[in-house]
Amino acid sequence: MEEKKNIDVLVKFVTKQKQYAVPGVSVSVPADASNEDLNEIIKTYICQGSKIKAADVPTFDFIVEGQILRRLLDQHLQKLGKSFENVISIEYFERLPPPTPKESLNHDDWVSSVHSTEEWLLTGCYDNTLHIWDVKNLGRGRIKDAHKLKIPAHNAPVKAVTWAKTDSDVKTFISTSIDQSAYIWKWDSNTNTVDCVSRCCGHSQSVECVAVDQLKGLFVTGSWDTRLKVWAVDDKKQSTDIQRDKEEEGENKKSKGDKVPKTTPLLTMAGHSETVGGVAWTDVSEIASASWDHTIRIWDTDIGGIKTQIAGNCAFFCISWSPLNKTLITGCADNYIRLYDPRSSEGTLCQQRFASHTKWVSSVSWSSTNQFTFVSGGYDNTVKQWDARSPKAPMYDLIGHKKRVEAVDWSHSKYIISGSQDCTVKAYTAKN
Amino acid sequence: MGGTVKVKKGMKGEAYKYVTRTYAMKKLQLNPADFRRLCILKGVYPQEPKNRVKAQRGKHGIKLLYLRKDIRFLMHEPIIWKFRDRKIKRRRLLHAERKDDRDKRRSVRQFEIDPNLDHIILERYPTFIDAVRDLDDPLTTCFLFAKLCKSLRRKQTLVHMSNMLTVEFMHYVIAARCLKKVFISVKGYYYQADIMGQTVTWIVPHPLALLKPRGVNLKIMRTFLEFYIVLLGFVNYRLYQSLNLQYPPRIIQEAGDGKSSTEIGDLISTLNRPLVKTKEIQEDEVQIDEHLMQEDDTDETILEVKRERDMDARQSKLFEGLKFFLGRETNLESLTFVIKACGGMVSWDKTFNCGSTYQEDDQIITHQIVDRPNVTRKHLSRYYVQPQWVYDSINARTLLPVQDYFPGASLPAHVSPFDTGEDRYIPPEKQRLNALRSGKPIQDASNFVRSAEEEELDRFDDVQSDDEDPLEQYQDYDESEYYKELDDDYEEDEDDEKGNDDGEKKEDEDEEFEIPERVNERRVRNMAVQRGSLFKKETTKEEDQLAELNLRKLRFKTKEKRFYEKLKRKEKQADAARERLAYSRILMEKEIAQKEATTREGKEKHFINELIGEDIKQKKEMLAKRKKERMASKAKLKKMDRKQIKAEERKKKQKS
Repeated sequence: MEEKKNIDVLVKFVTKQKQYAVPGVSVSVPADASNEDLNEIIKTYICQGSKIKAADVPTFDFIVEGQILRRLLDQHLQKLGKSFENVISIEYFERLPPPTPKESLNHDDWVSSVHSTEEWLLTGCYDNTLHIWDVKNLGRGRIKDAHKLKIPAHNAPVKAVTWAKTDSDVKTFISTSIDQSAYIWKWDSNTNTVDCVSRCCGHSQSVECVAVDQLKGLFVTGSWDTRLKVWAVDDKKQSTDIQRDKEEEGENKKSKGDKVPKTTPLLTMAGHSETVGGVAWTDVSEIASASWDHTIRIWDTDIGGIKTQIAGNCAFFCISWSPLNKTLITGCADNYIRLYDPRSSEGTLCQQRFASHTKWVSSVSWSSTNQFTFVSGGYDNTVKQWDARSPKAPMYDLIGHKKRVEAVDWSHSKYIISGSQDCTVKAYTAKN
Repeated sequence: MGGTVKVKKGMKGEAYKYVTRTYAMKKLQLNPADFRRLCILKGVYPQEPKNRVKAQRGKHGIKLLYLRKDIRFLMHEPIIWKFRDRKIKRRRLLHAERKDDRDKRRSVRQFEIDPNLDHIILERYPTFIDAVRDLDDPLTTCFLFAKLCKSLRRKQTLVHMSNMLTVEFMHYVIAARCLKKVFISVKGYYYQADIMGQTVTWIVPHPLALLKPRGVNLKIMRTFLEFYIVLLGFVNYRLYQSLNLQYPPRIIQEAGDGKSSTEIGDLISTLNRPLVKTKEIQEDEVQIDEHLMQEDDTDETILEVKRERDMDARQSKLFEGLKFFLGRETNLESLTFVIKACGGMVSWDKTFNCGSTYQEDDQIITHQIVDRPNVTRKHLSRYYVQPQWVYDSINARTLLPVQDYFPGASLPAHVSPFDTGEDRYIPPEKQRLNALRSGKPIQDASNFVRSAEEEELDRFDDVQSDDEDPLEQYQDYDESEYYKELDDDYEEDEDDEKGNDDGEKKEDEDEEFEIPERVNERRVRNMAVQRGSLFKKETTKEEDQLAELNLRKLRFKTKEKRFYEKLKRKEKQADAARERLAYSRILMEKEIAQKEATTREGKEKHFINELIGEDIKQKKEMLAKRKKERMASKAKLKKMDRKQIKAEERKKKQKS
């Protein structure tokens, strides 16, 4: 072992961040160099070459042979089965600063789902209610200031929520529940009033997940009854029908009570043999669904049928698709997060497997701005922030939840938000 | 009006249960050829009745009888409509031909009937394992048709498809390393693989020109083939998915290769190339096994299971690190497949066939396979062996000694590995093999794998390496050394892991709990961010035990399961008894302690304990003195007693 320590490796430092570039000469580095050692070397180089002070140089992360260096250099190379004798090119980039705890929002029951926009945060709770929070007021003053509205929405626990149209003051969002239905809501942010647009009926069991497409015109729901259904966010034809209905019913309104108009699905897609755990739109007319029957299926809404199928070895609970790198990540029942590329037609199916969670991974979410980072929440009470190039170690563990994490969300680039069975929603600020 | 309802004759019992072939065809409105086709596709076969006279309704001769139920089941098959469509098409085509109406003929021809068999596959094999279990016949048929010579090719696409599917299947076996047994017989090459826990055996014909056999209706064979091709397509798809690979597999091509097509078709050239894989991701089961291997066990059955598993693992890595060179006279396809499936590397002469990877003068070749009596041994650094050595080694699951297989040597008998009957006659070869396997050191590939230094030495100093007799090395190699090396490997691995931990801990200390220091913002309680640590599988003892138990359960066959459960029960009883004993012992000890406290000696002990710190010696002496006195008095008393007893006895004697 002592002889090993004397081994030197020739490395070449490369970077895409020009302000921290160093001369591209190969340097000999001890083989058992750690992350810190390499950081020191880079620091001295930068300080020699330019006027940047040593204190201002940030810490870097290093990519060796396509993976982020998280152990000693020789061990890393050994694990990847690479030779020590060639000149190793090491790419370095500024390390993402750790996210910081921001706020903890208490609820009355388990929190099943969260979704945020630039301004507003929507959460669904097991006490049949939806909550809207002001993102700007998170972590400032009292929690009450952040809380905008509580909506007693469903007859059973809420399972999934998502924002649909958020351009104007009147925003649309969708919530689904164990009561076999999904509701479309309209919320006026100025007057802080909410109106139920329609009730989507069709599923015969609990509606587990919902996703809105990029054009914000359609949304898809996946259910415990193994089916996927596609609905229109606001169908013009239907809305006129509704108006007519309202006029007709105007007189009998009091006797009937204000009944919410029902809508029916545009399309039903059957094929899974178990609960659909997660859905995501991957294109204008393409849906990826992850199911407990060990498959991910990609559907075409134009055809109304299945396009391709990816078979796995365990149940999938959730799925997330990134428009930046066009790949899917899924959370699995064997505690791994798996990365799939639906475009590849040769080689391996599963492109990468991320290991760190010690229990089921219940939710995953890609970052909306960075193509490499994503977050995941598991039943081991932790939320983890990952870099797609570091499969064996997450970048950061976000600790705080006392019970299983049910939902994570990173659609607001600055906030990582997670909901859990300990009846809280925790918000962390992420820095880019 | 009571009484039983009379059933018409022939509407009940055996006579009703069976129908004749003619009746069935009439019922289904099919001609004999289509009926046969349908029966093959649906897996319906004639049945032997219990009472033939009754079943045939007293008719003479022996008729083909089908179950009425089966025929009724066939009636709902949508593929019958395809047959009818085809019949109509044929008729229309004939009609157009007779009229010499070319336009109509063309239009009729364009109307394609595609007999889709997918639903039949799903119906006959509801689960994937069912299909794998039934894979023997499909594979054998496809391998046979893949070998058919050109003049016999009835339909080009079928032969092409079967060729492709078989190559894909062989690639799967190579990638999964699941080949278990090989046997060469007159019929052909028997292969046995373990696929998803099912043993699949198939036969590949010898690479000789096949003539059309007499008495074989190729039309029937073709129907089977059509069905099997569809089945094998589905099976291959699932098998590749289970390996985490995309299905139409691609072969890695090298730049200097003569053929540039990536299509699978040419058997040998593709077999010798690895499949395209972007990343190696191992599955979990393997890890659990390794984890269990480290524990030591004493239970014999479990030990046996472990041994079996070790052997399996060793077999799949049998030729790892070995480099083979095949002579022109050998069967390239079979040898390449077999060697690759056990982890070896293969090549042959460049001019002989495409797909060779290295040349004959490569110094690292360990074995050259030749099948002729006299070979001028050009290279002393390698063994020249006959092909049978490869097959026998695989069946023996060890590298057999090469001496018996040198070119020109009279070979030991090629014993079938499929015969496992232990009560029957065991040929001497097998006996010897068993002895070798149990007692003598097991030869492993590791002694052939030379370090880089050695290779370099060889390059510089060819003569020296040539002088050494490879056989001597082989024999000198000691088993104990081999195990020592293994142990060393294990230790090193552990060290590495420890090193990892240390490195990570240091990192953690630096960056643990970064809490923001801002005055304006409220500090949030009970939340923190930590640098993510390296993943290491942590399992508690209970989980380990559970996993081990499950594994053991899986490993046992149902027959042995009962025995195993009995054993377990006994073990439990023994444990309970032991616990009871231990408990009673504790109770006893407690009682004794209490008694001691009450007795005199106990008091003395207590006294001594109290006096620690004071002049213990004096007290001890005192006590010793007292004890002595007491003992003396006791002895006196005893003596007195004895004297008294003796006196009494004397008195008694005197009296008597």
